[in-house]
Amino acid sequence: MSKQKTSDEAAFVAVLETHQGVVHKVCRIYARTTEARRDLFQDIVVQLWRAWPSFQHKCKISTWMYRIALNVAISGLRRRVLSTDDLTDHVYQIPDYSAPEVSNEVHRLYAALEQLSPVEKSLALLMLEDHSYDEMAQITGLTAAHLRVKTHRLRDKLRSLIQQQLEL
Amino acid sequence: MKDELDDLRSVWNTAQGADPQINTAEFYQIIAQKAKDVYDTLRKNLRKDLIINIITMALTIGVLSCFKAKNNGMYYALCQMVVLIFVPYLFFYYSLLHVLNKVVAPDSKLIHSLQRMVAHWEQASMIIIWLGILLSPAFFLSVIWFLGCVEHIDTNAFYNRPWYFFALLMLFSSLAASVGFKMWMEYLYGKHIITLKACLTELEG
Repeated sequence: MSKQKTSDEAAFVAVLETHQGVVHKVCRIYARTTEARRDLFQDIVVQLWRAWPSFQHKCKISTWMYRIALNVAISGLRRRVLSTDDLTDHVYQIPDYSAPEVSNEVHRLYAALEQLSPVEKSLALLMLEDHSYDEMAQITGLTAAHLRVKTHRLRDKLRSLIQQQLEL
Repeated sequence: MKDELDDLRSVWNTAQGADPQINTAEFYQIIAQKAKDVYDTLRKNLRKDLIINIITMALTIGVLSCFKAKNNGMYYALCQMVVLIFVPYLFFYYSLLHVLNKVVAPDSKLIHSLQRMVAHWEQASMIIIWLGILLSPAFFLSVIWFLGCVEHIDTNAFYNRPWYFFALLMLFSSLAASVGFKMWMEYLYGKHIITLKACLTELEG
């Protein structure tokens, strides 16, 4: 392995370790089962690694990561051939948000998020992560005005879905 | 409204604390893997298809050389098959590969990525549909000629029919191929294209 590649890998892994929360959040919102989350996590990391040489620091690293992660989750830039036990379970334990020990509020929020479309999920994620409209625009490619309207509608929809959960 | 959103964020952040932390060794393990995206799979299938066709072509050439001395009609029928089917196939193979190689950058903005992917899929499916439309009449006529040589059917009677017979034959076989290939494409990739289009429409709307 060349020195250049080794240092690239080290830099990439260091960045990933610091910002892995971004990938976890996308997995959390898009994949339902532990196995699916693990698969999606690996797909996203591999695509991030593939795109790493073209990252030019023109935007924040988290913005770049969100773009790739959402593209992988939504656009179907994936067809996995990896085995699902690539990561050992004892290291990669993903919490089950439908488990009884999880608070009712969290459970209701996830139940509501699960009913959203893939595009709505991406906007909900960015909204819940408190991204500015400009940042959201850099990730989605929509204008800030368009995003304002969309997130407003989405907020209403989430409220009504959570309300439905409360009534159940 | 703001308070309500803050509440949602607070609930969201509560759950975030439970996320696992992947360590350095695990990350190295992941990036050493070779995950394949859908384009890789398509390219791989295309390469397999090309290899199969080259082998078929080689076998046909072998058969050609055997038949040349015995049956001139069959020899020319096989020659026609090779020229009319394999040469256009190579052209389509190259075109499809060219489309698939225009990889969508994974770090594109979401809307651009969806637009490009929809365009790619549509372009690829059009190439495959046209491949079917153009090759099926050639294949059909070659088979008739070939059968004529093997079964000693009077192919002149077939080929001496008026031009509109051939025009209709071409039209019907092209239409049948077009419908068949469209259905095949829809079966293979239709759901994926529909999903991508739905996401794009929703994002733009």
